[in-house]
Amino acid sequence: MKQWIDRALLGLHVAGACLLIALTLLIFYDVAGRLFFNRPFAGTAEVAGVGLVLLTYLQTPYVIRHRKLLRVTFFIDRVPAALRSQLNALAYLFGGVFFIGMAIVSWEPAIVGWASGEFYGNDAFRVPAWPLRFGTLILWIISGLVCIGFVAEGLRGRLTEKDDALPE
Amino acid sequence: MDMAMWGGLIALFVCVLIGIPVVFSFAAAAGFGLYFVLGGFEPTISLLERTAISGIREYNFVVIPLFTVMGMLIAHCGAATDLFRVVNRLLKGIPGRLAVATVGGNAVFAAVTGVGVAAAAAFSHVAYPVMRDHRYQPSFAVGCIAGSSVLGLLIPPSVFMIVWAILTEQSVGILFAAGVFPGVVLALLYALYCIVYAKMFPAAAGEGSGDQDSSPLTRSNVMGSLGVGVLIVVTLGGIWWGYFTPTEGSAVGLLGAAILAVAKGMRLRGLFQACITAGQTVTPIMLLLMSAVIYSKLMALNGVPQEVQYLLEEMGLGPAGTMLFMAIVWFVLGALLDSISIMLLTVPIFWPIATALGFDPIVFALVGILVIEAGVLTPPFGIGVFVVKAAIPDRNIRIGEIFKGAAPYWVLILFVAWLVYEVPAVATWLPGKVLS
Amino acid sequence: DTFRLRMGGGHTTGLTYVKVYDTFFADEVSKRVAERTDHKVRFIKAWGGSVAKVDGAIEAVQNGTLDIGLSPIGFEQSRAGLLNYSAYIPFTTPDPTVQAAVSNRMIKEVPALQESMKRYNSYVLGAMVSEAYGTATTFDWNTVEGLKGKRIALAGTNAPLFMAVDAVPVTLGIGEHYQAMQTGLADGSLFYMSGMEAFKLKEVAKYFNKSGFGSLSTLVAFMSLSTREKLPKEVVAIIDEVALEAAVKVGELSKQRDQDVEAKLKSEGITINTLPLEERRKWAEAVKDLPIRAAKELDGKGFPATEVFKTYIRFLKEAGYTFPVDYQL
Ligand code: NA
Ligand code: NA
Repeated sequence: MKQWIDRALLGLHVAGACLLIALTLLIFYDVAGRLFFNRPFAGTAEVAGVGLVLLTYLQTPYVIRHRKLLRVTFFIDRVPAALRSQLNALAYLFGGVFFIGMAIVSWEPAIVGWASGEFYGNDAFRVPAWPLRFGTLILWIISGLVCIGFVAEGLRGRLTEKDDALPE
Repeated sequence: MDMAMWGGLIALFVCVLIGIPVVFSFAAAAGFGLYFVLGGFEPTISLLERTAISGIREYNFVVIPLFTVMGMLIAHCGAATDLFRVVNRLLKGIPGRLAVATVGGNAVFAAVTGVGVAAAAAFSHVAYPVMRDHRYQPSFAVGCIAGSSVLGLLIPPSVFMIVWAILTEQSVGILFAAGVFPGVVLALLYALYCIVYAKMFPAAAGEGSGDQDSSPLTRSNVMGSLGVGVLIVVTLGGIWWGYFTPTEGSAVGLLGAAILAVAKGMRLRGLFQACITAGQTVTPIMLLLMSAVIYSKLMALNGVPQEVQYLLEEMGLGPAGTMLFMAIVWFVLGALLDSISIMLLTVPIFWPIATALGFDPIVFALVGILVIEAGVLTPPFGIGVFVVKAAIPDRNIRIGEIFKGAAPYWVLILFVAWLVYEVPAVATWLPGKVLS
Repeated sequence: DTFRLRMGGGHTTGLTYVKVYDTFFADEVSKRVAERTDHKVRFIKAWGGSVAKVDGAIEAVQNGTLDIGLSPIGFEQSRAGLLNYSAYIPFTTPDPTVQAAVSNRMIKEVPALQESMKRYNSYVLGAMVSEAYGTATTFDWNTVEGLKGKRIALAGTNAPLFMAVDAVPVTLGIGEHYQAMQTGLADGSLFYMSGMEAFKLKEVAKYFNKSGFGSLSTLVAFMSLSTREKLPKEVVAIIDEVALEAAVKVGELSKQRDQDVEAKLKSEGITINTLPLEERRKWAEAVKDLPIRAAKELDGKGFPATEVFKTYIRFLKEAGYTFPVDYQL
């Protein structure tokens, strides 16, 4: 079960990396089109902006799971292991509330946006908003669940390792 | 500043200090404050949700992942090691020369990056492992990387300067030109500091182990270094001669780096691995930027900027006193927020006051940029340091060590800020030369 | 009672419409409310994207983050499609005061406009006008032919206008136009003439062409409907009254700014051309499908766009301005 989850999260992370490569090629295509054919691609800025959001949240669950979020470890590294586990539970509770809360309020705009054909950009190029709306919705739920998983582990006293001591 | 605002600020400090990840701390503190400002949960979480998207959905931000992957490719394929061996050779006899080379490398890299975080992320991978191989003291090595990353915002192109120019309706070109000389002065001071420190504490610079490294340069070392040189010329030249924007340049540079990596023998698997590692570095940074934007919205919605303006006018400090006051505000905020957020919050307030007091706009801009950048290297949450912490491949390094190592650098930055204030020609000479 | 109203937008006070709201609107509303009612109003101002970016003001008003949001609706075609009517019909009047009068009349006499924003919990306080758009260039030109193959820095919205005459659009924020022309990335920049001063474009572009794109009524102040319900009626009435005056003022100031900047630039040796009517007609001919396509699409979404566009053309005609071509709506 656990291994399966880690693989799925790695899969999302890899999807994010692929998206980054795609964005690079897109920007290059735009530049080359302008320089060599006087034909730039009109949607680069919009697509890249949307892509950047998706790529960030595609990689967030894996980053949380591997405890790579930035934090000040001075205090938490010096408390007894049992307390550290509880503090970690509290830390990820914040994260769980944050992500799940955002997912809940994003449901309605996602549906409305879908129904009204919401888009980013303008007449020159439009990016439909729904892939981003529903994409972030799902990815926030996943990130929230990863956090909640840590809360459960932490409360049971199993999150005693220091972040820095974790294997790569 | 009412109770909710103070409560939120204290809550933020407590959360961060007990080890709640900074992203969640910012979100929680902002959520707490916004609940009172907006009067309810629904609008509060809606604002968080919208900012979680709009805070990142910005074309110019793609330079952050792209320049990071570029740096990782250069690092992973061995070209960075080549470069450092060559530079090390060239600087033979100079104490702490790897640190000096890091400063020099950053000064050059600054000319192809618009944001400091990209430089910090790249050099964490390019320079740090090499310095560690030569047994440099970790805090000396990372401090050098964190401190040098500021050069990216001073030496053009600079996203920071573009935003500043827009907020104050100044010429971007003039600001760019204004940054060159202070950037070079700062780089020289950095180099001087590294040399002096290495001379005083030889153990911190690996007892001159770089000097003992007498194995001859290989053909591959030279070719790799030339490759990096070509990459810089293509990226920087392309931007300078108008083939592409700095943002586009990051994509071109990344493709160039990929070609260089393949030429150095890296295969698909390695390229892919570099992308994966970059993701682990970049995502925490993007999340941090996003959460800082949320927090800055709380301040703006609370009318903090207006109250500061009112306060400043009431105090009547005179030009020097006002400048000092502003500098203190920037420096303190630097320890809390990211540079762009600080600018968005403070410049619209300070700029009219600065104009009224008759400050030279170029001097004001440079002092502001320098002080804010000094601030982001200071504890407890200076984002410049956290960026290095996230990027550094060595997981054993502590945040405290980076803050310690970076301290001399922000002192030097403040010195240059003071220099620009006292001797404006440092900043204004070149713009006058270029554009008259 | 003292009411705190949060006001914000993506642009800075460097732009006339934001400046007018930052000073005239805020001051007058506070003053008149204090004088005429038992209440007080205090404004929290958040310009320059510190709360909402250029494409975020409507959402911020909708969700209660801002009570009043200033939005350049060219960035909001998704939400404010119908309100963008003046942008969809190219080559409109170059006189901001004429456009301002027509814009106020449109909001007053065409209820569909106000209606179209209700779903976003937004009320149109005023649709303010821009200065006249034109083209700053590094080269001299005064025919449509002269733009062929030239790279023009612009906001994405305007790309179709230039693609129709075989120019190459370079999508860039205004802050980047200077460097783009300095390095040769772009040969020109689409913006107001005052951008020559404010963004120092005159240092790199020695020519400005008054190309006839005109002054658009695309700078809109939205107010949250919930806030309007919450506030006492007499306060809302004062806000509406001052908003109308602000819209007129923006028109006047914009016209003045256009004239002042033109005089200053001329005295500094900048060449200022006015694209001849014949050329404007040619250009309008090349893009005359754009309004038809936009109207059809909006009609399809249930907005009376064709009607609104026709009304707008009629109002302009009554105000003394005729388009260079007859758009077959
Ligand atoms: Na730079
Ligand atoms: Na932009």
